[in-house]
Amino acid sequence: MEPQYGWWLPPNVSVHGDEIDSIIILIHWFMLALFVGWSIFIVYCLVRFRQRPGHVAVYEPIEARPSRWLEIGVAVGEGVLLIAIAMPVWARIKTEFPTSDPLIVRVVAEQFKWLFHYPGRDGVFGNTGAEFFSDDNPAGLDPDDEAGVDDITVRGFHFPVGRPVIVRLNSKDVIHSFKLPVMRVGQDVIPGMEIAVWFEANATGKFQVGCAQLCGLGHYEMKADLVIESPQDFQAWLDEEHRALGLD
Amino acid sequence: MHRRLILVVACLVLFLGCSGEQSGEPAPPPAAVEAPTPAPSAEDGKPWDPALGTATVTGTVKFTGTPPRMRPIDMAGADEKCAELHGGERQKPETVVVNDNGTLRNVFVWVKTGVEGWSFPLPEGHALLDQRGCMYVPHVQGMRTGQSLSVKTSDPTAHNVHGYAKVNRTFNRSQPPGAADIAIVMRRDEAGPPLKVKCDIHPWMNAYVAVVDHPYYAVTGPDGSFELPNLPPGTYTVEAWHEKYETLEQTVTIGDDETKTLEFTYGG
Repeated sequence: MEPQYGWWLPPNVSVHGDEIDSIIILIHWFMLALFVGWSIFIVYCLVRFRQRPGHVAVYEPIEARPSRWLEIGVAVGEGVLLIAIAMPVWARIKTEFPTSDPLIVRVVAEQFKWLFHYPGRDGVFGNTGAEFFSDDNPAGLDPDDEAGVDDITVRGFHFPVGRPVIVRLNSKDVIHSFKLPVMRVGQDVIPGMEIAVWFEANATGKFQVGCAQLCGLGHYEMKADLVIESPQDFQAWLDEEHRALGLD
Repeated sequence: MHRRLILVVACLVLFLGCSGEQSGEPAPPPAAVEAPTPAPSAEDGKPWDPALGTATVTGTVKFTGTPPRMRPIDMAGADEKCAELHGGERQKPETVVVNDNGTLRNVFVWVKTGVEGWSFPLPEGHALLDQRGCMYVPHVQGMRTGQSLSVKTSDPTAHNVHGYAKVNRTFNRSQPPGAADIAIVMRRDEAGPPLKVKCDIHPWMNAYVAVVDHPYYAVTGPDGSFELPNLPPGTYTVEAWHEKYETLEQTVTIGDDETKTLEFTYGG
């Protein structure tokens, strides 16, 4: 396991990670400027309006035209940011998925582990349903569906570098949050819904999947290996998992 | 003002409620979880006379059809230490284990009705549930009402022992490597169905514990057979319970020094 968390952000191995990091850094600088600016203003007010003989407080609100226009300007500016920039970006991220040979992985969250479900050699996911979940069927695969016989269900998350990955998130019990710090990905997992999210890695390595939503007493244990491999190593891993199924 | 009053009353009620429960019974030892009140059970009956126990019920639990495929468990992705304990070899769930002779393992067979009114002496010692290689050993077991279930860990990784009891008190205790055994006293009968024990850290780990107020129970092993010896002559309902399949029942009447053989059949 590579060291992941120092005093700054964890390593970034995601193609979209730089953009996220620059937003995080920009927001922090912006917040620092606001914090310092307001702090100076507060100190100025404390000194300027301190209690002195001959000075009386004014209890009436001040009517000032410039400040009203400033407030309206800030509200309009924030509205533009939200409607013209944030909403279209969000809509694009949530509705547009890569179409060029993505790897699709179904993820099942439960208290307190992740389960990763890959289609087998046929490339087709077996049918799944909440009614099929049991101790010996943690992925909820339909036992009568032939397509599911060769499906791979594992507790570690493997995917290849340089190929888009779409994960379809499901929860068996409570709200969890699928967190890949090194991929700059975090998505809540809601029972009764299947939520998809995608990402792509630009470097290999062994990291960790976490749960970012307090989900019960064992929340701290809800983690899994995150293994980003070369396409050849990923294929070798898939072959090994097929052998482990005992179907060859 | 009103709000403060409500707060004070609520604190008082909470305090009294807690202290009331504690005064009912001396504090349990640190490692034990006990029910607040002793349960009514066979202790109310007349003392058992071993001279009466001359009859025996034996039998087998058969399995017909194709057993469901048990997918190998990937322990390594969740906890490397678990996988290392098996040398990397994948284990299979113990849910459906069909023996080579076509019998079904891990079926709990017990006398459901017919031995009421007796008070049977408790056996010495605890019932033992071991955590070994991130699996529970044994997977299914029976124990006596009033006996203590001793949960042990033989693993170098942390477990938590979560008992989903419906009649007895539920329990949820963590057990890091090398921790002392956890003793849980089962105060009430709980065999239909047995209570389930799970590890929340390793979701593939599960075990079943049936709590019975008499000694007439057995779990089928590698040969799929069971034996309920030392029964007094009489008519009994014998139940076979399996975690995945429906519960089966048979009635049997046995006389003095008699042995009768039953056969239960499950289908895949």
